[in-house]
Amino acid sequence: MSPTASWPALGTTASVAVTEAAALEVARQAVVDELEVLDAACSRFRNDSELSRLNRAGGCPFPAGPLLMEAIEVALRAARLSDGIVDPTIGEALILAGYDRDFAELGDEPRLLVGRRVPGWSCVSVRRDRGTVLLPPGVVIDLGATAKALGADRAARAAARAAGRSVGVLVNLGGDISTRGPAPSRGWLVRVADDHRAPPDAPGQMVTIASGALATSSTTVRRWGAGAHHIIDPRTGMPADSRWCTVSAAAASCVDANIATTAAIVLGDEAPRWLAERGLPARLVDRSGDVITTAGWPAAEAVAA
Amino acid sequence: MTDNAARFSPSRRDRAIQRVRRASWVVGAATAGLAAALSAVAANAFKGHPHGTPAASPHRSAKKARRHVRRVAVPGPQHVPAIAASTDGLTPPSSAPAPAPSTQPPPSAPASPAPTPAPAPAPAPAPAPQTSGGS
Repeated sequence: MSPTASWPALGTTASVAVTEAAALEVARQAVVDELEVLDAACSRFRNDSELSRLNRAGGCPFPAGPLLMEAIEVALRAARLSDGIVDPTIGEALILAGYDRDFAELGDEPRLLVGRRVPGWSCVSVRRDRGTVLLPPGVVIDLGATAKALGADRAARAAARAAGRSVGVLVNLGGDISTRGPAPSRGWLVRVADDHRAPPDAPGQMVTIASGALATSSTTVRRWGAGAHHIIDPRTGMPADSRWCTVSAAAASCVDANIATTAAIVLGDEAPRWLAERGLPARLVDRSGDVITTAGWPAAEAVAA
Repeated sequence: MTDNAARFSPSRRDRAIQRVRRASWVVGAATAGLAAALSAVAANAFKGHPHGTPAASPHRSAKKARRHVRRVAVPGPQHVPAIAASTDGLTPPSSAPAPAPSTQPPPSAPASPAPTPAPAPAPAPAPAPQTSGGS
C-alpha cells in the first residue's frame, strides 16, 4: 500500500502522505482532527462557525478562540507583508462577486459583477490581551487566502507529532502542501498544475521538495458565472484581472507560500520582481501557457495552452 | 408755511437729538455688556492652567521650546530606517524545488517478468506524487 490517504474536507481534497506506512493511520487521524477544528473556527459558509459569528458582530468586540485569533493574525500579517494585496476584508466583495455560499452550491448563471470598495485590513482591531476581535459594522472577513494554508501547516505539525520524529509527513489541502520531518530519500514528489485535481497527463511540471511547503493559486479553478473567480483584487473589489492564470511558489511554510502565490496573481506584471526580491522560488503561468520562474525554481517547460 | 415752521422748530430738533443720544448710549452699554458676558462664557469654556501653576510667559515658552529642540536627536539620513523594512518577511524555503528524477517508475508499471532467486526485503513504498494546483 502506498502510504498516502485522501478524503474530502473543507470543500476540497485533503491528503496525507508519510514515509513509514505504519504511521499513516495515526497521521491521518491527526489531520482529520485538525481540519475539524479549523472548519469550526474559520469557515465563512458555516453559520455556526466562529468566523460567521464574528462577521455578524460588526461594531462589538467579539471573543475569539485561539485558533480564530491565530488565523486572523496570520491574515493580517499577510496583508501587512503584501502591502494590502492579500487582504482579509474582501468578504463583502466576494459576496457581491457571487461567492456567497459554499462553492459546490454555486450555479453557472451569469450575474453582474459589482465592484465593492474593500474596507482594508487596518480597520480590523485585534486585542490579544483581551482575546477579542473588533470589526467595524458591515466589514466581512474572508480567510480563504490564508486559512487553508494555515490548516496545512498546523495539520502537518500535528501529524508529525502523532507519527513520531522519525517519520516524514506531507499534508496536502487542495494543493496547499506542507511538510514536516525527514523527506523520502528522493524528496517529496509534487506535480504542479492548474488544478489540484488535474489528471496525470494535464499540463504541469513535476518537482521534488525536501522540506518546507509549496502552494498554488489559480484563476482557472473555483470560477462561476461569466468569468468570476475567487481571487479578489482589493484595489478594485473585483476578481483580479491578472496576466497570470496559475502561480506556484515554495516557502518555508505553506502560509508564506500561499501569501506569495495569491499576491502574485493580483500583482500581475510586477509579480516576478516581487517574488524574486523576496527570494521565493516560483513558477508563473500566463494566460497563453508561457511559464516564467523565479529564485531557483527548476527550468520551465512549455505548457500546452 | 405755518405747518413747516412748526415741524422744523428748534425745540423739536433738540428733542430729536436727545433721543438719538439716549439711543446711542443704550446701544453702547448693551454692546459692552454682551461682550463682557461672552468673554466670561469663553473663559470658562476651556480648561486653562490649574491653580498654582503660573501661566507660561512668552519668555519661558521660548526657553522651554529651545530646550526641547536641543534634546531631540535626529539621526543622519543614512541612519533613518526604511519605513517598509520588516524583519518578519516571507521566509523562503531552505532549498528550492528540484526537478523530479526523470526515471521515476510509473505507478502502474507491470512487474518485471524475470523472477529473482532470493528477493530482498522490499523497501517502503514511496508516497504517491501529490498535486499542487488551484482549488
